[in-house]
Amino acid sequence: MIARLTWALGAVALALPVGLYGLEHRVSALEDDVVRFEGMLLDEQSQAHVLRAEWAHLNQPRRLQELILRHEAVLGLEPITPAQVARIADLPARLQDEPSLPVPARNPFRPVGLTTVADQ
Amino acid sequence: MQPPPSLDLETVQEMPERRRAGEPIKLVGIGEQALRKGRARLALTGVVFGLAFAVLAVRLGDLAWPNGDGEARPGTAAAAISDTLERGDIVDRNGTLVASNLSTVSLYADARLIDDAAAVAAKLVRIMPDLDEAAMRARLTSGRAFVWIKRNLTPAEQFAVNRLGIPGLDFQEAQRRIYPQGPLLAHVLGFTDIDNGGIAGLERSLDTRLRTRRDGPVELSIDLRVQHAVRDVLAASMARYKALGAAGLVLDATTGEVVSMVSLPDFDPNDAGTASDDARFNRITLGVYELGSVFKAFTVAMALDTGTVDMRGGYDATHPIKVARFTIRDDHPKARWLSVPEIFKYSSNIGAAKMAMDVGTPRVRQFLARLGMLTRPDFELPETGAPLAPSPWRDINTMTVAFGHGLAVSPLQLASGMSALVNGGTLARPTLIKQKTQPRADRVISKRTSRAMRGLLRLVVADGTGKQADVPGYLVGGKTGTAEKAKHGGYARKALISSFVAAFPIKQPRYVVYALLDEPRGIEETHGFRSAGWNAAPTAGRIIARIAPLLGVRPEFAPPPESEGRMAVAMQKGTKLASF
Repeated sequence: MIARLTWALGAVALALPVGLYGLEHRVSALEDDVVRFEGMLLDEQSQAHVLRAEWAHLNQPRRLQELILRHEAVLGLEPITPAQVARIADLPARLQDEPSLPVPARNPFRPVGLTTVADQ
Repeated sequence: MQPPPSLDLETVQEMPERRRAGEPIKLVGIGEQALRKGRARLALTGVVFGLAFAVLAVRLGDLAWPNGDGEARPGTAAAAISDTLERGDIVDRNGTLVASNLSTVSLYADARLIDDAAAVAAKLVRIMPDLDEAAMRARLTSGRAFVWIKRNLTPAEQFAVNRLGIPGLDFQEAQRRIYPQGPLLAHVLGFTDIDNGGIAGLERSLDTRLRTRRDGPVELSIDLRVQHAVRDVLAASMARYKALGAAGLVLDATTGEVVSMVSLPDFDPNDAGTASDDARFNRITLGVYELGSVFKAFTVAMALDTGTVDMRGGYDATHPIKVARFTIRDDHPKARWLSVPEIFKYSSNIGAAKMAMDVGTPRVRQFLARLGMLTRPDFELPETGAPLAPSPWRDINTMTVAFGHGLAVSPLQLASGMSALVNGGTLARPTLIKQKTQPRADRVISKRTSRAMRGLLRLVVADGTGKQADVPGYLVGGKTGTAEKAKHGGYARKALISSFVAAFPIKQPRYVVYALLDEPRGIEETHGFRSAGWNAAPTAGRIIARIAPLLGVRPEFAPPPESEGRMAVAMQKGTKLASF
């Protein structure tokens, strides 16, 4: 009886340190990960922070306005006028019978000579 | 120490002749004594070892248990970038960044390690041409252990300096306050000194909050888009009317939030050191001006609210008033009896003065104090000016204050007071911080008076001096004010402050807009006129046309229905309908 208890305790005494050592090893590895990830997080955050500042700088309304005026010919953007503001409810009612749009028999934009399964 | 229980001393007896198997060995004499001693020692050792192992077991359990003083640290928050910044961010009401800290490197030298100062200085100047070579040489030969070369290097400059490989040069990482929006919010934000301490504007008044609290950025009440639109329109007007300066303010009529605050000329807070005193001067909060006829709105409101006159009443404005050595006359004399709406519309000084005298000096002062016109406003900016009120306040002062002379207030005070006149009669403290809930607002005039004031303000724009402020789609109400600048103890006839205060949409005003031009000149387009109706009013109109769609104010093009939108205004002959 005593002998068996001694063997069992001995086994526990051997297993415990081994298990604990393994656990501690895993924990310290995880903690290293945490430190590394926190560092990465901080790096990312600081980069995001710089980018946010840059975004704000590049989106200065004055700068955007200058760009829009410089490329007026292409963009044709103008400040919104009061006449352009409306509510959905103010829109005229939709026509009941919408005239059906003529649909081309073949896709007119497809290069000549190209056929697909649908054409056959 | 107890004797070990396993020992059975009673069984130790005289040794028998023959011993049965399994029976304990029995010793006698010296043998017995030695055996006893040995067993006692063994037991003692066992107990000591047992205790030691018990201690080890407890300690082991303690270490393994996660919330002990071991190394496990559950629940620690991840580090955040905001913790590493010396100063918190500031964002506008839509969350756009307007002030932040960035890490930059600064170059310094240990002058003791520099051998050939002249050569090093020449090399550094080649990289950074803005450095003064002679001063640099002097600094590098000073023999001190730490001399600044240049703060805030660009990454390219840092790389070039590193490539020189000169011993004794080194970098220090530091944080720098940046304002990505440039001059757009110059007077609101202010700026910081080289050590990131706030020394002007909100940077100064919120210094402690920005340095210590890390619970997110400071949210301004300013809308950046509106701010730009106001600045853009004001800059164009300032150039067009050749004015010395311009200022604009957009105030939420009910919450007191400042949606936009512009003072021109302005400066770039990123480079505040080079700004002139004039550029740093905040015309909206620090400047106090005798603002002229816009003050008649307060005079009429107080007369209506105290009941000394009603909308159908009026005053005789035939003759100028002579008091002591002053004569109060009208700029556009009608020389007849004028009704209250007419006094307001034609901006009659005589009528306003008589109206105020009927209210009486004590009540006038009381009313103006209630609207915050006589004390320095409680506002977030340190650059907030105190009004200049007449002292002692005699009846003549009551008369002149009635049409906006003799009492100098800041445009902020005026717009804030105006918001109370039109919003239904409650005054909220003006603020630059975004309000999550409706802040406390004190009633200053009755709802009825406020409604009458809205009608009168609309009348000025529909059919008076403020016609050019009208914006199709938004019913604008407002009042012009042209005042001569007080200079050298008198008034300068040619140096004018022309301003326009407007509210829109006037049926239920959401915003109060104030536009001011400092010494505008008469131009061809205005037929040489320099009064507010010709410059400040159209400026305010352009501001409203630009910002109203941004602010989501719904335009109304159909005329408002008779029942709610029209106000009967008693005129001299018959009744005229003024729509609003």
